[in-house]
Amino acid sequence: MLATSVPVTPPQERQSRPRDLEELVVGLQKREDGALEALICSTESACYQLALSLLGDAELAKDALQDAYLLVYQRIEQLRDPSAFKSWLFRIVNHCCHDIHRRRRKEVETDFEERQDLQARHVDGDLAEDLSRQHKIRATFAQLPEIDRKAIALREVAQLSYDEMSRVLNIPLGTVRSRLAKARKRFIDIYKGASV
Amino acid sequence: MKNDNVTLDFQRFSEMLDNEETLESNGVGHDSDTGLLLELRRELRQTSAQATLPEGFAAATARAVQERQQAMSLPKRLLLRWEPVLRSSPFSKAAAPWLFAGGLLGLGVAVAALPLFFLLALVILSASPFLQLYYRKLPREVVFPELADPLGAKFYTPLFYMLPTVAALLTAGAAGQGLIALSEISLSFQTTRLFPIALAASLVVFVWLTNAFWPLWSALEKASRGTFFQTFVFQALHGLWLLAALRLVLGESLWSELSEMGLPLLAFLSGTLAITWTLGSRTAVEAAAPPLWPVVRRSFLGFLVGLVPLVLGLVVFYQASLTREIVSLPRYQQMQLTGQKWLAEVRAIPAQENGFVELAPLFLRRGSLSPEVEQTFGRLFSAKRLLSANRPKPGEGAPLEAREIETIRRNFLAELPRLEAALAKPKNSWYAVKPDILSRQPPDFSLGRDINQALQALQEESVARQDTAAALRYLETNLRWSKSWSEGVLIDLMIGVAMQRSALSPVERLLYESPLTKSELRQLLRLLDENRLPHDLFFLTMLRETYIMDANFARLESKDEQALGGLMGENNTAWLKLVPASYWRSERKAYANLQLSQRSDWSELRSGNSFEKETLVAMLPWNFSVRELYPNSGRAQDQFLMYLSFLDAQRLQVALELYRQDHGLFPERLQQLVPSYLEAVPVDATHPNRWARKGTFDYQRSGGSYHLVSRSPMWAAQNKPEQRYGPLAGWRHRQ
Repeated sequence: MLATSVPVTPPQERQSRPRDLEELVVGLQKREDGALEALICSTESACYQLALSLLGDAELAKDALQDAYLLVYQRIEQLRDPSAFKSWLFRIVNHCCHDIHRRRRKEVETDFEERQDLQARHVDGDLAEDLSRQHKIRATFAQLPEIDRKAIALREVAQLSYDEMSRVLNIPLGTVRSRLAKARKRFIDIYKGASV
Repeated sequence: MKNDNVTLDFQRFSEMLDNEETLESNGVGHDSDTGLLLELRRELRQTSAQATLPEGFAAATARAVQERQQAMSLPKRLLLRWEPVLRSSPFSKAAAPWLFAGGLLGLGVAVAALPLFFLLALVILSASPFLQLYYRKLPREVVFPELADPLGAKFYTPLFYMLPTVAALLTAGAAGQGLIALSEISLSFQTTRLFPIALAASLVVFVWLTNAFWPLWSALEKASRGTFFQTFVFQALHGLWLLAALRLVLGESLWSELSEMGLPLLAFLSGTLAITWTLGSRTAVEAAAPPLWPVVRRSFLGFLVGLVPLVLGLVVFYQASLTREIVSLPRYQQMQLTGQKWLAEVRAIPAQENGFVELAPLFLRRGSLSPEVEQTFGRLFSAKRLLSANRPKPGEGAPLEAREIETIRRNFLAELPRLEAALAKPKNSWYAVKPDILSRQPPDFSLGRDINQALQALQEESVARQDTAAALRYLETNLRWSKSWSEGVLIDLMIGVAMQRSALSPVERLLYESPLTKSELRQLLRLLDENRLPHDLFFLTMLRETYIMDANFARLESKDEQALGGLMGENNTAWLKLVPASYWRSERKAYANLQLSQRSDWSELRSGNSFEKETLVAMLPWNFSVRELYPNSGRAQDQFLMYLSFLDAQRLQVALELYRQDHGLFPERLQQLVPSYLEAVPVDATHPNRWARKGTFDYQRSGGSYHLVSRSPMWAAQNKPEQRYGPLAGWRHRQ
């Protein structure tokens, strides 16, 4: 099993970032020069990771990001509470990914699966076995319905809390819990079904 | 795909994974659920962490975003600018000021011109589907950061159910109103308990409808959240239902008035659009709406099941309300005998002895007329203008020229011998020449009235030029003409009474302004005596009236086509045939009971104490029109008594004048006129006692003249304390 470490943001940085983000939001609302670029800089990584996990394609994820930032730029004045910016941004990214996914449904799934096949083909031995399992995990994830992928991606990739997920998806907290549980259960069932 | 249900244990397990970020899979196999999910977590995070954006992505994206924003077209800019107002909940702070301003403006327009208000609202709201389509690309919950709308949340649900609930309420009200209306159009359903029964029926109908439809409404409420067209279709359908129920409640005439202004349609369209626009602010619910067909079936079954007790209740109510017995069989039989005897006499009149046989083509016109009849009709019809020429009223248009008046007079006089020849025959009966002897429709009495007015005009002209012979001739023709109309049912009697009043109106002027000889005075008195309608004619007329209606009810009971067509018009017979025979049988008996209960009133002829039943008017789409069937006999009786009083006062004045010419002065008492001038001193018909005990006129000699007064509470109804006659009285005001 590959030991991989996921970069963890130090608590101090995490606390300072929201304050900076709020300042950036206020600056963008005032249409200050460079505010948009700074805001994008500050949030592009998290948004990109989320979009990529939802769409499975880098170019499509970038397109989704551009659409999302346009919507943010157009409607930033409607945000009265800058501290709610993060969940709002993720909501918009989620919507833009959904839009692209709806328009290019088959392309996204095919690209995702093809990429996994290509990766698995070029390694041997134990590595091949590990890669095969990774490939299977990713392939299983790709087979999940969009609603399940969204729930898992928001939790595992964007690392949103249940409250934040509730705001992003506009569903009650209880529904967040049950939806996440259903998505994980479905993942397990598909994975085990493929293993038999 | 495995099924979606997860156990509570699994859900707890899922939450545990999220609460322990550093949970490691030490000792857990790869295929265990925990290990698998942790691996998924690692894979996703690793993949994401490796995903990086190229250098300069932020700057390029910012540039691209600003360029795209600047390249936006003007309409899109405007839609973006107004989006917070147009898409906000009407209860939110963003929309509130605009709604307030719009409301004030709308109120001003509505006060100025209500149809314009609805038209403007319709035009504005018609844009909402297009806006909805445009904005649908970007759901509200994505665009608006603050979704909380606590105020709106309280109103959306009641607003959604408002139209269907009001429609059900109005339908229930119409049902109750229909029951009460039965008491206005039917004689059988006269019960003091009808109002509580109608109220209970309304309540039952309301509960039935809402109970049947509620599951469907509730399911559609959930399914239509966040959609425009589904919401609009729901609201529009129930708006139409509401309109239909409103029409039933308001009635034909008021509805027609509103429809002429286009108000119902405009209100419907603008109302449903306004509600749909407001409800468009609701956030779509992620939870799936229940499947509709089972709900539709449930609603339909509820509708049917609730219908059964309603129908049973209606049947029980109907059966319990029917009139099944004639209260007084002897009276009923006497009425039947009287009517049958009268019709037998009418049918036995030989044609050559009936003066109206020759006049029938004029007064019972069917189809096209011959040129000769057409000419006669035209001459008689236009003759009434002689009366208005004598007494022009301001604002009635240009007066007739003298030449025109002369032509009208000459034409009428050319036709007069025909009328006089008809009146000279032994009998004058319209019923003998009517195609349907049982029909209550009189011949063209307006033409008869035209002749009556023309003769009155000729009387007045004769009096004015002091031609007493001509005045008496026209008076005689007019009195006989009007008397000939009075034999029949109540409407015939009332037409005759009205004509006689017209014929008598110039008598006082003739008496006091013309030098009448004794012979002429006696002739005048004889005319008045001979043409006076007897007081018991009212009683006979009412028995005939009851008989004719009884016979017509029997024809309705047997679904006779002619009778049905005569009731509601020939185009309405189809649905009238659906009315059960038991209804008409019940109505016949109820009518007979009601009429015959007034029998003593008809014979006693108490003034001002008659059975009063206002003319019944049904303000509903269906109109069996008891007004046609049940006459306002109370008012008719009063008119008859006033006529008798007036005519007897004329007789007294003529007799007093004769006495004066014979004796040089007026008598001290009216009794002195008997038997030389009058057979008996006439009673004052307007006296409140029953006929046998009525008092007479107040008479007082005064110097070389006298006062003759009728004092009766009946005159007070005409804003007069009394009715005065005689040379000193204001008889000129009656001209």
